[in-house]
Amino acid sequence: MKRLAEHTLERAVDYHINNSLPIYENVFRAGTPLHFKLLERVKSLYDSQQYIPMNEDEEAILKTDIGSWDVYENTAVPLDYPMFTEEDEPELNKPKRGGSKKFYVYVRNPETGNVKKVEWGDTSGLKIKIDDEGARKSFAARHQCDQQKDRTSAAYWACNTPRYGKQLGLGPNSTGNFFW
Amino acid sequence: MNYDPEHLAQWMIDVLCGMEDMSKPYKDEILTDNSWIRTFDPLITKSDEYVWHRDEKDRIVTVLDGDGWQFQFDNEIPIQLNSNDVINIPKHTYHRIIVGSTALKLRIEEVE
Repeated sequence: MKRLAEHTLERAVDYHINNSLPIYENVFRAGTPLHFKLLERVKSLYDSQQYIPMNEDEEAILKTDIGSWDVYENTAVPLDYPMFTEEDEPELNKPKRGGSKKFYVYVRNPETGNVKKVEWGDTSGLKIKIDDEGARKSFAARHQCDQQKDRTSAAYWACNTPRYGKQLGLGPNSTGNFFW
Repeated sequence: MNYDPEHLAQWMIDVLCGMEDMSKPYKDEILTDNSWIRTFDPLITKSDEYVWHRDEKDRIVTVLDGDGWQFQFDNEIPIQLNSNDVINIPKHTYHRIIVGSTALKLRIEEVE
């Protein structure tokens, strides 16, 4: 079993080199033993000048203590590694400003159990006429807001944005239990 | 469709606002209750949308088309996907796909 893991690690190093994949895009799933073992292996190769970093960012990472472990409060912790585990999931169902669009929210997909980031909202500087009741109703009708029940869809959150107006920093006229 | 200029402008805003369901990085064509054709388009999907995930049921996946795509099980090295490849994915097993150069078309069958 140990030999198999070693073989997999060797192939993983080759995979990174052959695909020009820097170690910060670790081929193994974050947080798994192989993920950390690969960091350790590449760091060891770098320290013995058998691994050439692919860019400055990768070199900066390999100059840290990444791949090493220390004990903190009786628990082994990886050094220079951002700590997150499956338990540290983002806050669910709390829309926030930001992301690649105007707003984003993390939700759990009930079909798979996976957490998913949903993003919505214009980023080109255009504004929806939220104060215009006619425009709001037209928007809601066109997008069938009363039928949007899937919380994993952008349409659901776009339709329900006014409900979260306060926490999203929208004005008082844009906040309330109504669709756009 | 109402072609009133103001209405048209509002419709364009809606499109730009992403009101269409862009939450899934693929399109499905349903075949039966437990099988469908799933198409991933690398031109409209960001690579970070192909995340590690698990599924509720066992799945049998057949590759129909697509260049340069890879498939990876947890704790394994990614493998190249080729047309007619068949992959059995046990339920609750972490896996992911790695984006390729042309649209990837898969036939997915869920097994109870």
